[in-house]
Amino acid sequence: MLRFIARRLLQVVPMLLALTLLVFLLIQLAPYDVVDSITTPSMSDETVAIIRERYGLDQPVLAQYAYWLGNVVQGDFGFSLTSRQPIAAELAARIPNTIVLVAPAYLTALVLAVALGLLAGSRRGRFTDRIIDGAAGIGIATPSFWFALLLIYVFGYVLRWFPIIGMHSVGKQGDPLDFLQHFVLPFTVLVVAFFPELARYVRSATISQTGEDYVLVQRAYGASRTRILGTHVSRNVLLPVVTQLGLALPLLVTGAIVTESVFAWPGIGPYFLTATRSLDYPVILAVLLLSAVLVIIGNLIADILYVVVDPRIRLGGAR
Amino acid sequence: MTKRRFALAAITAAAALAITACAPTTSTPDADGDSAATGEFTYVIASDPSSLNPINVSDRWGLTVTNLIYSPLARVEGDGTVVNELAESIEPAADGLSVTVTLKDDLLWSDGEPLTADDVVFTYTQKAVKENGNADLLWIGDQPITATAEDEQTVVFHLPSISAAALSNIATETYIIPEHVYGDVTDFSGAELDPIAVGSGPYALTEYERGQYLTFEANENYYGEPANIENLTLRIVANADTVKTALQTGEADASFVTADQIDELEASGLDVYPYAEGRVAYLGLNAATLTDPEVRQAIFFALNRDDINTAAFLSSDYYENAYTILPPSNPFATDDVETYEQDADKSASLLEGAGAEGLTFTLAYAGADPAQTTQATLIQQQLQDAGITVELAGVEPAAVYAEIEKGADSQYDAFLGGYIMGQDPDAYSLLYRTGASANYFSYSNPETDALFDAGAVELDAAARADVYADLQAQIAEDAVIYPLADNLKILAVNSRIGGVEDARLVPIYTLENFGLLTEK
Repeated sequence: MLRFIARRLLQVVPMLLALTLLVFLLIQLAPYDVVDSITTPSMSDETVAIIRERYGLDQPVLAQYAYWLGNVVQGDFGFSLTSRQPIAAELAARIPNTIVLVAPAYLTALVLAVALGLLAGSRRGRFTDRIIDGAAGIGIATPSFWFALLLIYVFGYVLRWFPIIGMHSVGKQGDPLDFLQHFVLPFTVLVVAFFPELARYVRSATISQTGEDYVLVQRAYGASRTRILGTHVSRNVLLPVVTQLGLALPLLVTGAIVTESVFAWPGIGPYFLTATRSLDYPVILAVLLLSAVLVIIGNLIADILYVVVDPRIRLGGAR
Repeated sequence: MTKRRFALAAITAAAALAITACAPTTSTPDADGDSAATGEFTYVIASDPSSLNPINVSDRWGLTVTNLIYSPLARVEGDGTVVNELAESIEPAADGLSVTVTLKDDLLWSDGEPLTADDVVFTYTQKAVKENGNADLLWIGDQPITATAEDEQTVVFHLPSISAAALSNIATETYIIPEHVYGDVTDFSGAELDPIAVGSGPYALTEYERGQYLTFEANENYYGEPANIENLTLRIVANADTVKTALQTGEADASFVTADQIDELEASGLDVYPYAEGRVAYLGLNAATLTDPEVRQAIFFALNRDDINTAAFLSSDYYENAYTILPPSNPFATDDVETYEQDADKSASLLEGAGAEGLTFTLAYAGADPAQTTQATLIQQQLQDAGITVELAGVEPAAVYAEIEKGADSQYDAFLGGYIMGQDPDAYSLLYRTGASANYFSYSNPETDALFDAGAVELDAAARADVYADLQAQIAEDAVIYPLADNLKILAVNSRIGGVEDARLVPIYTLENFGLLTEK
């Protein structure tokens, strides 16, 4: 097992190198650089040249990449070229905010999706199924920024139930009630964003499982529908869901970019969006690197969980 | 099944619309009945400040914060008059080579230490260091302006050569920082000073939560009137729709808004203040690719300025037509230039004379900016009527400037832009002098350069105005810029807040002194 994990982790290195180099070169292809996005007409050419030199942007492209890579290997993500703040510190401050929002939303969506997906799948074609499947269809088709604005309008403006800006009111850090008030709307948006695909996944898995022979056998023995669904079908349906859980890991960083921006939630989203617009490449690369690592680790965790929940599966180490 | 799903979708959509439709439009921001003074003012800004270091700050929100925490020696009002802040008096020498500034009595930093001439010298010395990134205004040619402290309250600035611009600008726009706090700092090129909280402005910074907000409280050692509202918050919200709703609910007290939001905000009881920032929104031509002045003039004669401005800025309440390189509010702006009123015949004959019938060129603009998108589309349409084909390229603004600066090698022949360069006309030389850093037009005319040289050293006000009138006429004739308008900035303010006129709406900083706002 440990050898398997170690080997998988080693495979990660070339992938990350290729990914960051690709992104770096794509950024270089853009018709402007980060200094162009911060200069004003009142800066002289000399001043602009000084700034460019300070950021190393006067160096050849590959030298810039090598320099960046050298620092990252030493654990130094560098600093944002527009705000000149250390990226590691910014990420450390923002990632928890994103996780606090995304993790509960994803888990809620998952629980809802499993319950409703099983229900819909087991009643395929009936009214309940159509409602649930239809709702999922609408959910998939609804852009989350639009849904967020709708919620802001209805619950923020018309009804005045919830505040709409940020994670807490100024001066009320650590007040749980205040936090919850700010939390409800973006949380709801994310649940609605995550739920539909998961629900459809569970539903179709349920449909294929209920057609299996073992369900027929259970029925023949006179087992109740609830029992079949709860103890037999759900086990087989949840197995692939475990994979989903692993794959959802990168969502903890990049799962709410749009929603965070609409609600001014101080997570990774607004930070990443701003950096992208101004081609602040150290920030872009740091966030991408992080989410790529999470994708890979998420896959690894999914594989390991697979073995844990289903002893029939063996890891490649035995080959 | 598909049909049913469709029906469900339709019902949900209808329900959503119904909820939207029955929304009240008459509620006021303080509908909660909370009209008592709170001692709080929340102003929404669009992003984190890029810099909080007064030595090198150049972005809008960074300057806004700087103006809250620190004070300059003096500032220039919209009409060109100088108002003293830290300075008691500013006396330019008759030879134009030095300026003596006397500070007010008993000035204090927010930590209670005295503010002296040494702090002023310290600040200007650091700002003149080119590596710190904002030294341009303190250099004349290849020589820096230097400052010496005569005594505790007197500073003398020495100019290496005569400069009318420096003479009128030296005391403004530079925010003084305390030497007793930052004296040991060797590198001022960073984005933040450490600590960032010691200043001499109406407010003192109490907390900065990056990406969320900055909070301030009134500075008890401020030399002017103490701030009326004790606590000030700058809240960072990027999404314009969220900002609008936050203004309507009273979660925010003020923010910049766009013209199309005004009706809704006024219906919600907010006060709206449009004001000029001295901006020039323009259509620029690349003289390195459109080399014939007559062709450029032909393009301008085919355009209708009023139509473009009304379409882009919605109502003449929110813009003022611009005709020269200077914004209409600038004291040096003149009417006596070629304004290129639409004239199809003239345009056609100029094109014919230049042998440029069937002209085609590429116009670059900021694709994400609704105003510029409207302008670009209208320009394309108006020029099409004149037989000129315009290809549109909507890209990131930084990409527009980076590409157009390549001159003859640029893939763009024209672009939409805007600048705010301030009161002194010499500042505009950065855009129009041959080879200047922001000469996006690849424009070069020795006569224009000579006029800039003459204006920079002319100390007589009337003679200087004449020089710049000639200069504006010259550039208009050369037809590299088609000024469109000074489009107004629009501030929406919760009706519970007063004193906006006293606090004075100014370019960039929003308000000259946030401390003069009041709660009604």
